[in-house]
Amino acid sequence: MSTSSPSEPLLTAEDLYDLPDDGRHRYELVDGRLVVSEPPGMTHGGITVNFAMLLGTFVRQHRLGRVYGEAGYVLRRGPDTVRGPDLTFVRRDRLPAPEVAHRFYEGAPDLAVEIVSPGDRAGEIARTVAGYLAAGTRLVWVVYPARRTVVAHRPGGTTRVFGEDGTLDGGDVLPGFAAPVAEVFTE
Amino acid sequence: MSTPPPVAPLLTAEDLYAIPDDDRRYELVDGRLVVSEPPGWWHGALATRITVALDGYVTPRGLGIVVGEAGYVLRRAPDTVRGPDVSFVRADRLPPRGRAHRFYEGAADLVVEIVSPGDRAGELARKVAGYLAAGTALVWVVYPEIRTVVAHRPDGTARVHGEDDTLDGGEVLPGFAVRVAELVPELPDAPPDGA
Repeated sequence: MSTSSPSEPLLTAEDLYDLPDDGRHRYELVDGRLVVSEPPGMTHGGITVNFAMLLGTFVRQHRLGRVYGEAGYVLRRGPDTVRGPDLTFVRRDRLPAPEVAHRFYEGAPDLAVEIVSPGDRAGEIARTVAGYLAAGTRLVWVVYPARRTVVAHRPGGTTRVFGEDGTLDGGDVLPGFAAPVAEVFTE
Repeated sequence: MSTPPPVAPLLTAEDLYAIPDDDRRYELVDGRLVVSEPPGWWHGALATRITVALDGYVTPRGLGIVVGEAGYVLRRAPDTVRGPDVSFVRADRLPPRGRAHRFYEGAADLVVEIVSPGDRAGELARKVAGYLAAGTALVWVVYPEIRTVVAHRPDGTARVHGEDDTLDGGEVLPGFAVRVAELVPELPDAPPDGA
C-alpha cells in the first residue's frame, strides 16, 4: 500500500463514521489512514447475493446469529483500522446491543467473506485477511470469481483452497454448514 | 472497447524464447504474451536472499539446482511459460545438458514468487494454481510488506508463516528450515536525506 505523507493526521473510526456518504466510493480505515475503493462490478454483486442467501438461510434456520452485508468493523484502535467486508456473520452471543447497532461494530466478525475484484492487489488481500484473523475472526473466505475458487483462511495460518467441485464447510464457526462452491457462482 | 480485437495468433514457448531481450519480463499464458516490468529493487534483494538461503542447503548436499529467474514450460498447446523469481529442480529431474540453456520443459519442484505491490490477487492465484497443476510440489508466495510467506501445496492446502514462524522445505527439501524473519527481513532504514 502506498504511504501517505507523514504530516497527515490519522483518522479515527468516529471520523470515518462521520464522513458524508458520497454514494460512489467505499471507505475503509487502515492504521488511521483512509483507503478508498470503487463500488464493485456486477459479478461481485451477484456472488455476494448468492453467498448471502446460502449463509443467511442456514444462520436463520439454526438461530446462530446474524449475517450482514457490507458493514464496518473496528478491528483495531490506536491507530484505528475499520474494514467493511463484503459479507459477515456475527454469533448470537456477540451481536451488537440495539442502541449501538447503527454504528460500526466494535471488534471483529466471526466470519468474513471477501470477494476479489479484478483490480485488487494480492498484497492488500493478504494484509486484509491477516488483519481479520489477528482481530479475532475465526474464518475468512476469499472468493476468486475468475477462477471460481474460494480460499478458506483460519487462525494459526492454515488455509485451504476449494475449487468449483469442492464443498465449503463452516467448521466450528458455523457447524453443519456445507455448500457446494459451484452454488456460490451460480448465475 | 466494443469492437473485438483482431485475433492474435497464439505463441509457442519457442516463439517466446526467440524474442529479443529488452529488459522486460515476458511470460506466456495459454499462448498469450504477458509482459511485466522488471521488479523493484527490494524485490530483487529478497530474491537474492532466498536464493542464497536455498542454495546454501541444496548445493552442499547435491540435492539439485537452485535457479534465479528462468523459463519453465508448464503446459503445451496452448503453451504456458512462467518465470518464477526463484526455483529449485531436484537432482533427478535436471534437464539434459544440451537443453539446459533453453526453457525447462516441465515444472520446477519448488517455486518462490515474491509479490510486488502492483500484483493482482486474481492473477497471483491463477499463477500458483498453474504451478501446482503442472507438478510443482511446493510454492512459496512471499509478501514482503507483511513479512509473510504462504506455502501452497498441490492438495489445495496452504500454510501462512508470519515473521516469527519457521518455514520448512517439506518433502521437497527435507530438513530445510529457516525463520521467515531471516528470509524476509525488514527493509533497513535509509540514511536521512542529505546525509
